[in-house]
Amino acid sequence: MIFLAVFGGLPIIFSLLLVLGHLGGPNSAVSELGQGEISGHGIGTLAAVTSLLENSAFQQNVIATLVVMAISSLVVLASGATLTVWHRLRPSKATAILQFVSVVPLFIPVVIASFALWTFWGDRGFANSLGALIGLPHDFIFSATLEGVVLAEVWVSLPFAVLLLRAGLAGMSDRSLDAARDAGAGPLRVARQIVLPQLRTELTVVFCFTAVGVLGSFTVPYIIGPAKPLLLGVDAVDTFTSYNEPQQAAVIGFAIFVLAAVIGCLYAAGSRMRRARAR
Amino acid sequence: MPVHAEGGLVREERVGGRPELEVKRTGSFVTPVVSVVLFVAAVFFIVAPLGWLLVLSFAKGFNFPSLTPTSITLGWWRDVFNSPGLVHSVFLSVTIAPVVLVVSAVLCLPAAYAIGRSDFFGKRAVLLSIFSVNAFPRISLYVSMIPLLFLLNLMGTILGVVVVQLIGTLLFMTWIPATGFAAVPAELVEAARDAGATKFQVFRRVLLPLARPSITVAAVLAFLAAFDEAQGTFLVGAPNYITMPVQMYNLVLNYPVGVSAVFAVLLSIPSVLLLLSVRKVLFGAGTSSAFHLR
Amino acid sequence: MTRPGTAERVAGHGTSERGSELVLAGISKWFGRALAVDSVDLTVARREFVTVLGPSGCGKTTLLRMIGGFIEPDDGQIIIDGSDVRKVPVERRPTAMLFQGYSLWPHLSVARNIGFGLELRHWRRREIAARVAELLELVGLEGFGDRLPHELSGGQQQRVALVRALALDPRILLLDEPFSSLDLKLRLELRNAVRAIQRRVGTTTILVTHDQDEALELSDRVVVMSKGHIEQTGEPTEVYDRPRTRFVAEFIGSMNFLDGTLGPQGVTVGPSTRVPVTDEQLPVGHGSQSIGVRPEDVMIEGAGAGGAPADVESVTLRGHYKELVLRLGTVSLRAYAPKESVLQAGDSVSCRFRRVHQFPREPVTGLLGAARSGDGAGEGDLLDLAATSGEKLPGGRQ
Repeated sequence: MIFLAVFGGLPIIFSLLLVLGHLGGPNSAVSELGQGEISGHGIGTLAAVTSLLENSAFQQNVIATLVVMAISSLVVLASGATLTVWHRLRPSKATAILQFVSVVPLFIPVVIASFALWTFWGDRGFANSLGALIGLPHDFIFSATLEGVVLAEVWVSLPFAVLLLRAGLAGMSDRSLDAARDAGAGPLRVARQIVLPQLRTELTVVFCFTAVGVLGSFTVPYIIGPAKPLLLGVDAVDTFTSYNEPQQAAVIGFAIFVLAAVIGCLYAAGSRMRRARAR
Repeated sequence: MPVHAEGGLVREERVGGRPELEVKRTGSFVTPVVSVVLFVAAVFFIVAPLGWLLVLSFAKGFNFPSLTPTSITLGWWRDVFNSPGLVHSVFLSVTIAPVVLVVSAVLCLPAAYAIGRSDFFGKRAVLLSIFSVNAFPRISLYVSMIPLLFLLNLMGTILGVVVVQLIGTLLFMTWIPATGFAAVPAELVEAARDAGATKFQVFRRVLLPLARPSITVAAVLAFLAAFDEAQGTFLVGAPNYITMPVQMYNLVLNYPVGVSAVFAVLLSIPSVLLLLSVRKVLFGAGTSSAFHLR
Repeated sequence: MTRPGTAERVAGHGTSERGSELVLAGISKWFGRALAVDSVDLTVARREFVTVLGPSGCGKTTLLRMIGGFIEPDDGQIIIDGSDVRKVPVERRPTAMLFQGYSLWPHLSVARNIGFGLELRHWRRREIAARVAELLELVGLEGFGDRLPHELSGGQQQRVALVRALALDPRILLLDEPFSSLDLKLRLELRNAVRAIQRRVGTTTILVTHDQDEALELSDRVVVMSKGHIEQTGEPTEVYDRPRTRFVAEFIGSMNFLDGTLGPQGVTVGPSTRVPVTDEQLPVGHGSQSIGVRPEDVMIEGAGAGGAPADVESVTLRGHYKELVLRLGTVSLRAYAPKESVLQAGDSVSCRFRRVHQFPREPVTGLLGAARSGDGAGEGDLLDLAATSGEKLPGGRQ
């Protein structure tokens, strides 16, 4: 129990620090290194926050991040659901292999994955070469693009989605699925009317987790993403290491937190709604 | 149970089919060709980049747009092993990660035990905080930890790196063993206590052995989380302590692709091996129910 | 492997030559190296209620699922109303199954569960509502339409599942041990209801169960299966009174098995004990056989009454009757006596057999017959008179 208090406190301290940090409070050691710091009186000031919000580059970064987040999460959801539901309804060797393969990215460290995807989809990479060989018009170069980031985020996030959806599907009785077939429903209909409605919780969780993951993602966009706009994760680190503006970095970090919290709230609201409906 | 007598349900002798009850042919779900294409595309999407990496580590060069290298070489591998900086980062990774694992185990396992087997005041709060630390954007966490670390003089120290890597392991080392402990049937514990065992003996002789699979999986995942941790270590450890994953950033930007590829392969090996060894448990019924949300 | 002369594929949906609803010809199924269903032939007539009875693993569920289309047979034909449906997938086969355990869709209301198949067939909403109401009334669940499955009890859920299957107006209703997850009282209630409904609506029905009471009570015909093949088909009384194989004799009701010889004067058991047999004597075999006697066919009279001398080994009260173990020379037998009987262990009696069966000798599974489900209710009743008054009763089960 004692251990609980000790390490349970750590995260709380860090979240507390968030509050302190973005108000530019008593972080003297950090501030000494920083440039362009804004100091506050008393509790603090929101000036650091406002200056950032007005920065057009930052605004673009936010939009880019949100767009990438939305697209990645949707793609992960769609492909993960298709994969797992298909296997549940019409299992075959092929679908089993596919399910296993889709979890492989879990085994690969994010850094490696980012690098691999960068070489694969990048300039003179596999995709580029293949495209050129076949004679396709498009360049198929996805390094340093937001599309590449989406590709990579999907690649990295798929395993979790598959595992979670699998677990949810396992909870459905074979008999209820058989009964739907018996009544005359083809697989698409069974998926749409019987399976997916029962997966609402898992689907929501997958979306939220993937979204938050992409929101705070650093390594993937760092290696694969463009120099402009930056995803917020990269922006935060860059601000700290390259520009030596720890306070601003902290603000960006906090911005990410806020966006993630919004998603978290949506999830909580959604599950509360669901629980109310079931009652 | 009343059975009402009335018409309309009694079946008349069938003459021919009842057309309104025939289900319209839905058509085949997806033509076989499309499914094959999708299958290949999906597998390709996931596996090909990895295979390509392997190829790159042995490739001398390419003449764009050729898909095969001009020649095979071990040169990259030699370069890596001859480079002290790179080798040093390997050493660092291999030594720091186990330390983190041990610390994590010491901190988390007792908590996991408490979570798995008892209901204590504030349990929900603890669970929530553990969970949220992980759901939280890691970057925000690290970035906001920096002032604290500066304060404690931990920036650029090994201890700072350990702390940062520790955070990533917390969830694994509490949640999964907690599931494992919780899964031990109460009867076994009661029988042991009935036979005279103290709480500690029960823990050591009944719970720990039975929860060992979960703990093993958790240990593997935690080790890998620490080993592969790049972002926080990058922020905190650089430029003094550069572990393998952090080194990758450097390699990607400044070194030829072949070298990076070799390093990447090296970095992947422990992950793949370790995870293959616990694959059964990871996919098994136990963790499936751990993922179950209701 | 098809039997010549089996009804051929008939274009359209005309009535078949034989007028039978279902014909199975040479149906076989392998699971790996195990032969689950071994070349089964079966014909089911319209409106008939057939039960496939057998122990777990005998292949009955596999057979049922093949009829329903959930499993593809490796060999043979499945002909429903004259058409070979072997290639027809589950979705389009004119069968409907009531599953063991719970199969309702948990996120749909009772009404939507029942109406699901009708929605698929593009019925209008008003028509669906009317039909659903009709069906709910049939099983006494009027007004339950808006409830969700988890709000219903097990018995209610199975009733909903039953009418959900009936809503599709199937040619054949398939019941896969639908009562086994219910407690005893509910089981009895529900199976009577199912039978009553089946009689009214007239759907051809195939029930699969391991519970012989169910089989004997509900069916027009019983099909006994073991190890993938059919042991015997017949009406319940026939299967009970005239088991044709040792398996059927053992599986249905209780049966004592003795090594002995059947002769004109009765059964000779052991070196010298001869038991007189009254009433039916089944065809005599050659030499020493396995003789089967049901406990209710063992007539007990006072010592010296002219039957074979026997000693009472034990007496067990079983509710409304008593079960005795008699020792006849070297052989032990089970028999029944009325509750009021004053016989005790150690008493001497004389016994005769009312009816015996004969089977080829097989490795002995146990002299005292296989376990039976149900409590043999009712078998002891008729023996009241016989035991106390020594009178013979007309043979056969009540």
